[in-house]
This record gives sequence, C-alpha cells and structure tokens, in this order.
Amino acid sequence: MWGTAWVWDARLTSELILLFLYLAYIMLHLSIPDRSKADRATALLAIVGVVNIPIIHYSVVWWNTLHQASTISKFAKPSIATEMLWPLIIMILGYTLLFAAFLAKRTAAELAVREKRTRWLQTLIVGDKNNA
Amino acid sequence: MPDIFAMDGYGFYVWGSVLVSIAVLIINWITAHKKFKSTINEVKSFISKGKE
Repeated sequence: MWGTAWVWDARLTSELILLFLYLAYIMLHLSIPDRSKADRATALLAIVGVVNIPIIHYSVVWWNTLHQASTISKFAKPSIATEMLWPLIIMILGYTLLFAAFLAKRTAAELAVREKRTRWLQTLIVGDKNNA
Repeated sequence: MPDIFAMDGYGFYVWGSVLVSIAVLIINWITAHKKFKSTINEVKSFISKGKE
C-alpha cells in the first residue's frame, strides 16, 4: 500500500485475517499431540479459511480502498504499464516455480519422517545405497 | 550511493525486506534439507542395525 505503513483498508485487513488464519493453523497443529487428529483438525480449519480468499480478491471491488482495483484481467487489456507488467509476470512465474520447489522439498522431508518405519521407504533407501 | 540503493530514502526498508526474504528462503530450504537427510540417515542406521 503506497504512502502508508498501515491503515484499516479492506485489502490490508483481509490479508491480516489471512495471516491470523495461517498462525492459527500452525498453532492448532502444534497443540494436538496426535498427528492424525492434528492433520484432520487443521484440514478443517484450512477449508473454513478458504472463505477468506474471495473476500481478499474482491475486497478492492466491494469496498472503497486505498489499494487500486484489479489491473490485470482475463477479459480486458491490462491497465498496468507494460514496463511493470512484464517484471510482474516474470516474478509471478519465478515465485510459482520457487514455491513448487519448496513444496516438493518440504513434502519429501515430511514424507520421510512419517514413513520412516515403512518397508517401501527402507527398500527405496537400500536400493539407493546398492546403486551408489 | 547509486539511486537504486537509495530508493528515494527508503533503501533501508526496501533492501532490508529483500535481505530478510532471501534469508528466510535460504533457512527454509536448509532446514527442510537437514530434516530429510537426518531422517534418511536414521532409516539407514536402523536398517544396518537390523542386518547385524
């Protein structure tokens, strides 16, 4: 938001709620010792939290905000300047790929922890060792 | 100082945010990698103990 560090703007406030939802998700998962129960409870919270996504998206349309309205649309010519559009597209692509890489890395680590006593993972590791 | 670093007087906030973001990304990657590696090593030692 240009020109101010904080204001009770619809976009900023709805994103603040999203931050609280993320924190609630992490705290809820940490507070339940049974991992399977924690997974279910946090999955439920995530589903409820999805309600906030369209609110964030349409906040600039529904309320009068400091944040500008949508500048990139599927159906109309972008109102954003070309000098800003291309860097934005490149950064969106870059961060999407980075997110995919992090997700794959974190999933592999979590899967290894959860499945360390299973035969398939042990066979995979032994097979890896034999091939090395 | 070149303009790109000065950022009209907001350089500390802009580049500070960039540095913090990069640090968080690197730490995130390293912790995930360490967690993965330590689990794999744990499984390997479990298997080798079973063979003994």
